[in-house]
Amino acid sequence: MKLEVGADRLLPSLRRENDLRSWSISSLCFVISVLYLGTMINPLFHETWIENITNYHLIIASAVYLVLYLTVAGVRKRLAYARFKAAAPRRLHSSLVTNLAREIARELGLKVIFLSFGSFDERRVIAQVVKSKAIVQIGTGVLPLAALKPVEFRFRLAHEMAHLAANDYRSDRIVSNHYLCFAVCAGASLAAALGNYGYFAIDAVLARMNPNIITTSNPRYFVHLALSAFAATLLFGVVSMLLFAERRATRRARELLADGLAADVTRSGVPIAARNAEELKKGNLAEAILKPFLAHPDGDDRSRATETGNPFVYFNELVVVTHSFLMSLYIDLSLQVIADNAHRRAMYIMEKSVTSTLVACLVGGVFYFMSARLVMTAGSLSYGASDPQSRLSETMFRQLAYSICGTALMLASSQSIWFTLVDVRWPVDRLLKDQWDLFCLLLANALAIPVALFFSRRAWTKHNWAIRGAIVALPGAAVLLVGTGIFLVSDHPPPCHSPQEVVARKDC
Amino acid sequence: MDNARTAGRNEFIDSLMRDVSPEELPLISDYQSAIDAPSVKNIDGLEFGIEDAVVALGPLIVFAGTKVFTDLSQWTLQTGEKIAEKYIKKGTEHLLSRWLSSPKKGGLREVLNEDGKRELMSMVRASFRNKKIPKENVDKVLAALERRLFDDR
Repeated sequence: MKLEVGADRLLPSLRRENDLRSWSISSLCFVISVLYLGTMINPLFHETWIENITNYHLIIASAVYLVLYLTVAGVRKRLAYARFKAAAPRRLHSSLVTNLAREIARELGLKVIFLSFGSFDERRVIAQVVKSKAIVQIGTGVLPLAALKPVEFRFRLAHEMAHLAANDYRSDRIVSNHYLCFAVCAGASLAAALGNYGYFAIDAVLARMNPNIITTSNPRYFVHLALSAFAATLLFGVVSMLLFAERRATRRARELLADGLAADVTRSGVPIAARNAEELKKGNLAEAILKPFLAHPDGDDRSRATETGNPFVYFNELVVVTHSFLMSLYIDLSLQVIADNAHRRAMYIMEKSVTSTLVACLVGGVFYFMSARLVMTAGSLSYGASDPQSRLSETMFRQLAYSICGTALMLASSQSIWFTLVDVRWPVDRLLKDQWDLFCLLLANALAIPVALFFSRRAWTKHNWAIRGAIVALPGAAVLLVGTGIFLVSDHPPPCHSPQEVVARKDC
Repeated sequence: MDNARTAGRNEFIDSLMRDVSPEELPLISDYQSAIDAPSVKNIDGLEFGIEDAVVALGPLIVFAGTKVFTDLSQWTLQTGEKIAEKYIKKGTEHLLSRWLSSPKKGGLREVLNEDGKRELMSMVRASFRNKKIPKENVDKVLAALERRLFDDR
């Protein structure tokens, strides 16, 4: 049976979004973890043969991350299987249930194993993948619905199968594995940075108390360490907060999309009545505060989403904030790899090798492009069925605010910004002088995101893949254009004179 | 429980379901396999998120029917003992065994005395305690059970 409204069109988009999200979050967790883990590992191999290998600390950190990921993934897989077996799932006997379930699976093009589990008070329906097999487990307490309320029963099954069809379980599994690895690496790096800072702080205090003690503390190094610990704490804090919020928001959006797909397949609404306005007013404050952090949207949101006949209106604004943060971070990291300030970067690019600079930018660019694709796919998904009469200027303004918010969060936690502030009287002047190229690129990025999102709304209705591809490339093109402009207007570097210049300048 | 009694139990549950909730007849086998199933706390996977109560009598019927057969089977094993003597009319032990293999409507009226009838019904009622089941549903199932056991009209 052919699906009518959007499921057959939306499923590929949802699958693509899930794949992109897996890649995007994986690369984010990998890049940050490896950079900081590498910094932590670096001193351990001083004066050993390993030190002769170029970028050995990053290679070791990558290997550590890989081993950690494989361990986490393996342990969680085994744990999931053990829990699956402990639930003692049973084969379904009733043809009434299996026929209903198979009918929906056929409509969604899925091969699913249906099992029953738990006692009579078990009212959950669970979608999962065990040993590469898609499984829907139906709690015994839900089975009566198949006979008494078949429409509701079909909706519940269709909702779970929509999760499986969109690869939600697999994507969520990959992402949560990376979150765990990131938490371990971030925790270790942060502990090392704070430990170093604490050590030097104690050393400095002891030196002040007793001038006879010979101390290695260098005030400049002390400030550097303090800033390093602060910047690392801030970066890990912001990234952890964004990852948590993004995961919650994505899961909630996924639930509404699964409801939408289920409504499309079963041609019925969510089996729960929304509360009316008066009942909603009675809701307490705690409920309102906790609402965004719950794994599932409440019945009111869910029933309204399908009652209006448009289940796909929910736009995950946190995706814009998070990915604006990520895209800015990749720009920042790419520039940091070249040199620490705008003048040196210009000198290096002009005098040395444009190619070697581009390699560093290309790596950041790959991650940047994936984040751009994800945010455009998420945006176009939500616009797919949204009201075309809604005010575009208002939507664009909101999205501009979200992208600027993401950029500002990145700037606040950027090491290149914090290190520019070391030992200066006029920090703003210094920031503008040293990081002006970064600010220009970030501004271009922050402005390009809402513009691309605006065009993605139009492109969705036209289904033109070439146009959609061009829209995804738009933020990257804007950043590249600004980067080329910066390259052209930058002063030609002066010749190297003193030995100090030779040490300080990479181009000498 | 031997095969004849298992078949008798299934026949009894089937007829009780037909009396109370015929629309749930296709689900009996799935209900029966859940009787001794363990409760599950943690399980991996994505959930539906709305776990509202389902008002269904089918699971109660299966539960009650199974309880009746388990208890009566134990009484038949205790023939000659005080408990069985107290509840089963003298000389009808063989009728009880026959009923367990082929449960006829109202067949226990001639087998159990008033104490036995009261004890059996109170044992079934007690098995529903602490299960958060609405009282009216329990009453409905017990009334149907009583009719099926002791009323041959």
